[in-house]
Amino acid sequence: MLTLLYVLFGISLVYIAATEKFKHYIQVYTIQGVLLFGMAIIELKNFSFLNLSFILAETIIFKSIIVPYLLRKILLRTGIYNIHKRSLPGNYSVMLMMVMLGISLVLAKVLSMPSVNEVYTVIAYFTLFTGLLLVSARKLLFGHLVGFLIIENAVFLFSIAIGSEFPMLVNTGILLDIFIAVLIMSMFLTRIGHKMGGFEAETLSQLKD
Amino acid sequence: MIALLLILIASAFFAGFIVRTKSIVSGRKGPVILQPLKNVWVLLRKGLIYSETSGAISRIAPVVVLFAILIACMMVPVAGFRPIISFEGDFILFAYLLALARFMMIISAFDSGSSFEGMGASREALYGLLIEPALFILIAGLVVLTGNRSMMAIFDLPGGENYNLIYGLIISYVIGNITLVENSRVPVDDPKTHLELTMIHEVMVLDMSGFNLAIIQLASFMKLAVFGSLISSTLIPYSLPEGWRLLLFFIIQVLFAGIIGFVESFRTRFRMNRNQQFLLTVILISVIFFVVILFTKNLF
Repeated sequence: MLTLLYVLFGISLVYIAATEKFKHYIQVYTIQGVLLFGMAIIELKNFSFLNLSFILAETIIFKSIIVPYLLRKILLRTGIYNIHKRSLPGNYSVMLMMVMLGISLVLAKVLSMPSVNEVYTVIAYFTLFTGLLLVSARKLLFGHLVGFLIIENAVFLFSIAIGSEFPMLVNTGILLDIFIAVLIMSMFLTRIGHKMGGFEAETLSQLKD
Repeated sequence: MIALLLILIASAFFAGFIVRTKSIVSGRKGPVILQPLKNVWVLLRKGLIYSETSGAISRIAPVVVLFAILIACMMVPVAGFRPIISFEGDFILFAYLLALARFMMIISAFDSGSSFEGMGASREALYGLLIEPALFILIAGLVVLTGNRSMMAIFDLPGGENYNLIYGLIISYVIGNITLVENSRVPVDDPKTHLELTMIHEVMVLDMSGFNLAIIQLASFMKLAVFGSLISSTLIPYSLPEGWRLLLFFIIQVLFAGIIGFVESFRTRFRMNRNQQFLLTVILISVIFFVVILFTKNLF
């Protein structure tokens, strides 16, 4: 079962890097929330109400319901549906993903520790690089927004890899950080974006006090 | 011998099933299952016409293509039935036979002297170049997983100790996509298109007629069945009784043909520039499969 979840998560990353439609970003992000829930539940050592409710809240409720709902609202408000035509073409994104998978493998091997699950480390690095790719290669701010959310998924995977060594509080802190970043970007997209004359990341540099 | 026979039987029905599925899905009755074979029979009795610019290659290419695919058929295990040709490392020869068939088609298209065919040939070469790594990485993963090097043994996945149905499904998915590219089906190509500028495989056979066109079509039917057989081999346990294996083999072939027909009914072909991205994605999924195998076998 875990193998299926790993593979589906990997394929979801490939898909999000290759697709050019923002609605697919949201769909893939929703699926990733469910997959992370599955991985976390299978790896969960202490079945307590607190643990279960935290995982449920972070994965299914936050990642698969609330955030996709907000992202959909943003898309409807802004009317942007595809990535910028000057963004990095899908061919190159997929080729970069291959390189990133290789780098993830090397990094996981070099930085391996006895208490860390290497499979999750590889997936986490791969997810982190995919998020970074979205942030650096997509010109529209919405792509950056999803990129940050993907990076948060990577952090969640790191937390599974480390297991009990990774306190839930740290994970929650990172989650909140990302959430605030997403909220600010959403604000820019929905409130100021039209006035600034575009939804490109470059327009952020024009903001003044 | 049974394996070859099964592939030949499957190839006789495969194209017909695809056409029939597409007809039913679009609300038509459609032709009989054997209509593609009947068309081939009609073509076999027709005469040959060659372009004035064509040379010897156009004359020998169709026969080489047919025999390359036929020998490839002899190497494919079918649901536990032993292929006629089987040896260690046979998958390399298998891949090269498919490549030889493609190469002959490409130079035959160039030989015709038509600019359209040259254009189709260059596309076919590019897509062939991009899809081959996916097949090799997939087979490399299977070799690592099973520890064997002949196709008969590496496709006996359900009988292996490390078998996981997930592997069977991933392999089926990748082989399914390779089939679409190798046989120029939607979304990479559209066999029903009438615009030469957007054709890939069909434009390469525009100058072929009669007997030559018939054997090219036969070869493409066999190629479909070859990949369908590989999928059935990864999903059917070889330990089952023969009758069950035969039944499951035909069910999988019908399902596979049905899925292709279904996909072609609801999906449009990609723009030309999106095809490379699709092929690279298939390679990347193969790589992910390979990485999973490395972890499964504790080789990483």
